[in-house]
Amino acid sequence: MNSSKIVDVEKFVDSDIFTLIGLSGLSDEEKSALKAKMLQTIENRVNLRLLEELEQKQLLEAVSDAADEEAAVKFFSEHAIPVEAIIIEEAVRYKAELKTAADMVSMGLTIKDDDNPEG
Amino acid sequence: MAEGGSVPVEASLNSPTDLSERVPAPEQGKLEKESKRRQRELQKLILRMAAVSEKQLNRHSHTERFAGDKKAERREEIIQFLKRAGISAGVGAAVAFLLGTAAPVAGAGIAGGIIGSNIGRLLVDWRKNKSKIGDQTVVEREHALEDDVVKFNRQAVGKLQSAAKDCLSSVLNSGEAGPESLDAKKMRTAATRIKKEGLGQIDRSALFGFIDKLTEVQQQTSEAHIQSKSKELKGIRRKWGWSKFGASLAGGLLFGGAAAEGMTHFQHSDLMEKAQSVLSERGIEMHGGGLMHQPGVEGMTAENARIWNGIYEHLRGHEGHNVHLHEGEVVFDVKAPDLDSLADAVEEYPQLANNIATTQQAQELLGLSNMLGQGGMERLLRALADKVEQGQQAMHTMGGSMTKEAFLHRVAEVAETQVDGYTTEALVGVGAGIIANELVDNITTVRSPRDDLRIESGGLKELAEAASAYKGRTAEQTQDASVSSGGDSDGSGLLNHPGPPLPPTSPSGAGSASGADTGELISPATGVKPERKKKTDADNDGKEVSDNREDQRAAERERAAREWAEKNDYEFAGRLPDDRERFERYLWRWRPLDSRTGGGKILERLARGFYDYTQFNIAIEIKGKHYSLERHDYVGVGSWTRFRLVPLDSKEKSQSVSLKKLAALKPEFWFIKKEGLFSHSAPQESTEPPPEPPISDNPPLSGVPRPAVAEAYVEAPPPSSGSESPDESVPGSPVAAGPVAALSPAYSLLDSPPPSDERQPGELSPEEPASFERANAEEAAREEAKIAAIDRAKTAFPSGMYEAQEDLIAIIYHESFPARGKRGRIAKDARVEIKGDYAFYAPDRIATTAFPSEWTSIDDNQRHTDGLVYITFRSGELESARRQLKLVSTTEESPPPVLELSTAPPTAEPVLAPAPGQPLDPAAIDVLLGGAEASKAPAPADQQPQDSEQGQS
Repeated sequence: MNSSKIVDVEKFVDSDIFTLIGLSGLSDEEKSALKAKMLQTIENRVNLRLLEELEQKQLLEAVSDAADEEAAVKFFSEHAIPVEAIIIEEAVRYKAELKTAADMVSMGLTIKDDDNPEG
Repeated sequence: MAEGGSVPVEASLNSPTDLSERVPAPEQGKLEKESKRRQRELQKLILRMAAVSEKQLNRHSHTERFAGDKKAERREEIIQFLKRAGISAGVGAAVAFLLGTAAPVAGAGIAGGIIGSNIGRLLVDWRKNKSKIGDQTVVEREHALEDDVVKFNRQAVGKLQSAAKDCLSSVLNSGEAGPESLDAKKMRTAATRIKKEGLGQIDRSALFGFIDKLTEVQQQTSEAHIQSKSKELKGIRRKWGWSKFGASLAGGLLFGGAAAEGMTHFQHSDLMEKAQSVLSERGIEMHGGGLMHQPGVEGMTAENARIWNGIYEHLRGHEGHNVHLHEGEVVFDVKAPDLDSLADAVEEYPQLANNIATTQQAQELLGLSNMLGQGGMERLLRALADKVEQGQQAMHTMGGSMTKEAFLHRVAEVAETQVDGYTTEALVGVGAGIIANELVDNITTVRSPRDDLRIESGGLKELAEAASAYKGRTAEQTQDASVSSGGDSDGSGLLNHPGPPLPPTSPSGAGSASGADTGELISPATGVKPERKKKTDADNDGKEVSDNREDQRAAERERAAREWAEKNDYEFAGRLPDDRERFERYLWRWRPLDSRTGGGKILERLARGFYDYTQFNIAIEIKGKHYSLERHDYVGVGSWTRFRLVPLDSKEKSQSVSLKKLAALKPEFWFIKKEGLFSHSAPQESTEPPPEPPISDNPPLSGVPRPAVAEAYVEAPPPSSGSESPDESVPGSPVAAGPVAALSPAYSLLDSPPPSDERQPGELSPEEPASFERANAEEAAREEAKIAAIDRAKTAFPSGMYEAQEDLIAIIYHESFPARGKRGRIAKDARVEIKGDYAFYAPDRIATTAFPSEWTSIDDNQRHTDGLVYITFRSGELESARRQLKLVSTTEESPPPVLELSTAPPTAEPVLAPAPGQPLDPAAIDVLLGGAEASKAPAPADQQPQDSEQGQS
């Protein structure tokens, strides 16, 4: 097999993200820490999108803190907000972003420290 | 299938960083280092993405409606609500899928869900892309393309990349100077080199790699530029940084495709398939390509939102239209049908024009679309332009505005760009795309609140300029033409002045080397002279845009400069040439039309010492900072002249700079203080050591003390605000002995001969200060006189070289004038004419022995540039010259005739002095030609020692 850069989509979907982005050599602890960050990122993005959906549909005021989990799920469903689809999309999007970033890092891209929003 | 977090992946998966499994042992160390770097960078990126997402969530406007504690409380309520809805659980499942750690069944289920989802567009696209292209599936086609690249001569790729970097480097080195300072020659050389490497034999797909790399370099360049932006922009960078990575890569791929396809006569469908495939592979299209509506844009009404949603629903229900939601925005992807649909929508719903912004990808696609002759984007833009115009909104560029016609014209130019040659096509493709990008940006900048779009475009500036410079340097733009036809439209005579007359560039120039004289006018905006070259269609688009942008920036800087001048009691005097040679000439030869300046070469006189210790009320702007420009110390002229730059905006130390250094600092504007051009000041004690004179072929004479410059002025009163109106000076008064007296040599030299009254040399008559105006009026007459003198000199010295200057009517040298660096004989037929305040002479060994240094100086610098030696006199020197000067002709054939000039008292009428503006007296010509009768009186004995001491060697 040549060194094609073409990624089979199914392999892309199925592959371990750490392998995909070349971080398979990390220790389990490191992976775990990064996983948490990945989770946080996706969760934030999903929440953001859902918020925007709610806002766009002028449903923010309708959000009730009293709603239980089932009611919340129903709420989104009733208002045609595709929560699951958004989650999946954001997850795939994130994976693709990391893959893209990994490719570019392999080309020599450097993430500048002074752009660190945490910093 | 992933399991346990360590699913082996084939190399074809293009895992970018698992180097340790594939690399030979000898390079293990390097690779480990590289691997660690990649790990580090990716870890940083992951952490940053998390932080960015957190901030985005926190900044969301859903809490803005609440204040104080309620805000945080409400936010928490909503978040909890989302979590209760199982979001976290969902994310957990997604991450499990993402990480490949989900059970196979779960993973397959999720994957199936994705594929079945209307929103999982990426995977749908992938499925779709598995359809056949001719005899090949999309994947097979991709592999074939990849193989082509692999087979490509990697060395050539390296050279190609190197050339690309050269191109960028040449641009970067130009700093902020603008397109005129681009090293176009280097660009052409690089492109030529590419061609010579035989890249035309290579499959066009190889350009993917090239453009990819080019874009990477560009990206890094962009990073550097963005880094220099204010902290305010950093937040935007953080937010959008990661998407830029992808966008940049996508741009490279698209450009590469565009270039490649352009070379093969715009095979649109094939290119689009490839571009789509590669984009999908990179995952780029997943994060925001195409056009999107802007929910946050002011004016986005509920009605608009409804329309958008309708469009979205409509589009996504049709095969071939790619549309998805992205962060609450409807994102139309890059396929042409969407563009048409969108154009339809805009035409139907004009108000949507105000809610459209483009991502960088879409902007790049404009170039792609036009390269392909695809009308969708153009049509959309045309629709946008129509709506924008209907809305009475100019399509603003950064500093001005662009009409719809101009906009469409440029779009058409981009579309029509066709340049021969494979590599040329590639570069032009890049340029065209980016130019188009900039055009779109011009629209979006105004209406989109998302400054990141502007930043993205700005980051491409260098590459755009590089590409446009490469292909655009052979054009004379319409814009330049208009500049050339322009004039002193506002009557100021400064900014629009076609430029200072330049010293001759050849001995025969005889003062005709100015831009005006040669028909090459200088842009009032940039202060540079456009090159006149053959014009091609392809030349126009890029250069026009980059020049336009540069002109805009220049206009902004000029506005700022004018504001500064207004606030600081200066008058804006104009723009200085931006290249060193022209700058130096400008300083030396500047001939302002403003009567206040005396109509002469102020800086030249300053440098030459006419205004000893006289504050020169000029300020200059260097890179946005302002300095007063003062003469530092008198050390001669030309390269020996130094100035002191005193910061006006801060308390930084002043610095002494040579003229060359000053030119190298690239001052952009200059200003004249409103109180007047001159004010007198006592010599300032410098904290710096006197500047060392540069090494010169004609060093100052040893043993000769520095001239006691204008001693009479030292006791003069401090600067007078009335110096602008020297009429107020009373001859003989201290005031008159001050700045006005300092001016007197200039008057005596330039405006009129010393009158035959009781006035002392250097003393002004009451009328003379008014000759500021008169000086201008008489200048033409003087020029005529000089020309007449030269004509006569030509008759006398047919083999000589002739030049007219203000301070020296003519300098005549024999054709045996030595080359630079050879000290010695300058002319066999040396002659000197002292005629009033003018002198002709060409002595032997002029720099060393023939003349006492305290009253002569040699403009060595000008000798270098135009082949002539200029000899100038400083304050009060002429009287001394009259007494001391011996005309020396040291021809070997005959003993040097010695002509002792008039020893008449200083107040006496100079022997050969003409009236202002009058031709030389025939008697002067006799002297000029060697007759000694005109001036026979021997020099006083007390004036002789210098001659005897220095003698001739």
